[in-house]
Amino acid sequence: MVATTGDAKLSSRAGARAAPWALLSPGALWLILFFIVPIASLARMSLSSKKSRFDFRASFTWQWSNFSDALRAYGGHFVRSFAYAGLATVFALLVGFPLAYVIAFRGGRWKSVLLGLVALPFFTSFLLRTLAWKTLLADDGVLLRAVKGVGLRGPLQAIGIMQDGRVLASPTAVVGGLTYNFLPFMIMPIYVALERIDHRLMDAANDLYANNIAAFQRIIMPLALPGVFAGSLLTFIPASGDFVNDQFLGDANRKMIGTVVQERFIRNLDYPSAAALSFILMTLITIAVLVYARVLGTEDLTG
Amino acid sequence: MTVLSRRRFLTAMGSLAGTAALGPLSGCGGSASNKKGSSTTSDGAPISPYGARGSTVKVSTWPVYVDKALLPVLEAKAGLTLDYIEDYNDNNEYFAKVQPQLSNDQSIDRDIVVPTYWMASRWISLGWAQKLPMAQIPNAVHLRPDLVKPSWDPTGEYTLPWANVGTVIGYNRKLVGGDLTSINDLLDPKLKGRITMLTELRDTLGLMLLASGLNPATFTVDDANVAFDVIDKAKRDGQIRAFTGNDYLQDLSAGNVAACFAYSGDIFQLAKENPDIVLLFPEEGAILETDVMLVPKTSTNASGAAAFMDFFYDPVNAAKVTATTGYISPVAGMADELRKLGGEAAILADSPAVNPSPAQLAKYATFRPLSEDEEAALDGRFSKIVGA
Repeated sequence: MVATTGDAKLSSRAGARAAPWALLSPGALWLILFFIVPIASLARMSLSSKKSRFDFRASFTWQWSNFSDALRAYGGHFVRSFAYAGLATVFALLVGFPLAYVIAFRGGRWKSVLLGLVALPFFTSFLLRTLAWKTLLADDGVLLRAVKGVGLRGPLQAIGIMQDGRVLASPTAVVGGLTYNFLPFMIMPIYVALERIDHRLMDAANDLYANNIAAFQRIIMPLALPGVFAGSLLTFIPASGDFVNDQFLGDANRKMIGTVVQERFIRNLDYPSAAALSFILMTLITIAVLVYARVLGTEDLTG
Repeated sequence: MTVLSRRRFLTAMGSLAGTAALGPLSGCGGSASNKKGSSTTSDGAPISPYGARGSTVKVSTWPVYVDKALLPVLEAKAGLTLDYIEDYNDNNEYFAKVQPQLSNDQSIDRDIVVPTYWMASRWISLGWAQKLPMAQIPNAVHLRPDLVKPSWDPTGEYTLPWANVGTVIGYNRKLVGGDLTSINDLLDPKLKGRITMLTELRDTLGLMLLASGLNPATFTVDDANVAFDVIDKAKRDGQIRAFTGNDYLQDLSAGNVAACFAYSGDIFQLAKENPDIVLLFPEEGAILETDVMLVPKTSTNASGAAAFMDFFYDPVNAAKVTATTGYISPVAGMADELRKLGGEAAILADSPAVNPSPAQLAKYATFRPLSEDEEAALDGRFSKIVGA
């Protein structure tokens, strides 16, 4: 029963070898349970077919036509979704960057309050926030009455922001809703990146005869880039698959791909084609992200 | 907020009082055959464990479908707690939501669900509904004769109708700038982008068949395609703002929508709050549907569900529900009780929209039954229009 020193050394060495794996196991288990298994089941479903619509289970039949059919029928929806999500990301960046900058550099003791205000809308549900937009933008609502009152209807109509005297049920409302709903996801990472920047770097740049614009371009921007990268992903990815904004703020003619997936799943009980559409969406987003990372240069971001 | 919490408080008080007053009697209330442990009936069919008293009954139903003041009364009378949830927005949506559980025999945490007749027929054929304990629903004798053993439930053992629903048109007179008379009026370009249609195939296709002079009770696939073409064109032209579930009510009351396909009782209720809202029985006709109550197979409180059904089949309560909701009641003798209520309710007894005579009921068209393949084909075309 008494362990010899050799045994103890052996077992401790085995322990040392097992330790990294043991430490990895919660994460690995998480990945397997919540990533590998769902993806595998989705992949299987996307290649399956159903005998009857009311069957819950589909049989696996290598149905590659699910993919080609889905692409043929809904190619335009993919393009539209990426366009909307791309616009929302750009707008979120245009609004979010200056805001994050002001909070990080000029916030002073109000920093946490300001950040709290950014996060505040998140205390209500996503759905409610979107429905609130519906009230705000109602055809006969406060905002549109004001717009019409000051005679902005014509100009806004001319540049396509308003259609037939309304904003609801138009791309404007959908892109606006997406921008608003994902804005904090843009602001937070940028804020974190800016917050880390040592203010003395700016002084140093000025000492070296850089004016404020040059200092911003050569110091702040590169250092803020990881935040912009993270913020863009956190905005673009969920926005391109979103269906809530589309459903409540969009019109009947310009649906996003998320709505189509939801329709195929819920109304047509066509799980295989919905799974195929989800897979295509996932693949396209991955490609887009890889291209984006390559353009921005990942070494700078991770280093 | 205050109203809600006050109502919830009253509900809680009501059920407490009910339990206190009726509690001691509960032992005598259940008959000997209802003892726990007898898990099958004499013919071997499984029955749910009894014991409604003190239990909770969870109901999934459509919005604005009941006189809410009656719910605490029911709780007090039957000594149970009601969880009355208005989460039934669209038949297909609900089906998709519960399919994973029910096809695996898992609970959906509901004791009553209120699908439309055609969906109820699907539930019955999939074996998702349990037989109602009719012995515990003595008031079921008040069921209107034309609804006894209906086509969707030929033995009449699985469902009891909650209400007949007319699919009609609701419009806002101020926004329309006048009055409408027909379904085709909705396609007037001056209403561009200000009308909605329903995501329910039978409602929208049914009305558009009528608009094209076709009969929803006998239409062919070619007929359906004629109507679909009209809908598709209207959508492409931007005439149709959206296809909606029961949530069209918000757009209509917010003034975003000038006219829409709508359910009769909804418009009846909205018109009470907003005098500009008008319920139109279009000159081409309208669609009549029946929403029915059934007990999901996984419910363990069928007798609680029975208590709920029995309560609303009491003609007095049925009259109160009708007076509030404006839907056509399945309960015979309800009209006499409406008259007894007096005032506005008494006027409703003579309203063809709320208490139609058999001849008036016959003016409604009923959507014909579809085979599974037909339904798949129609749903396929319709969802392409709705979803794209």
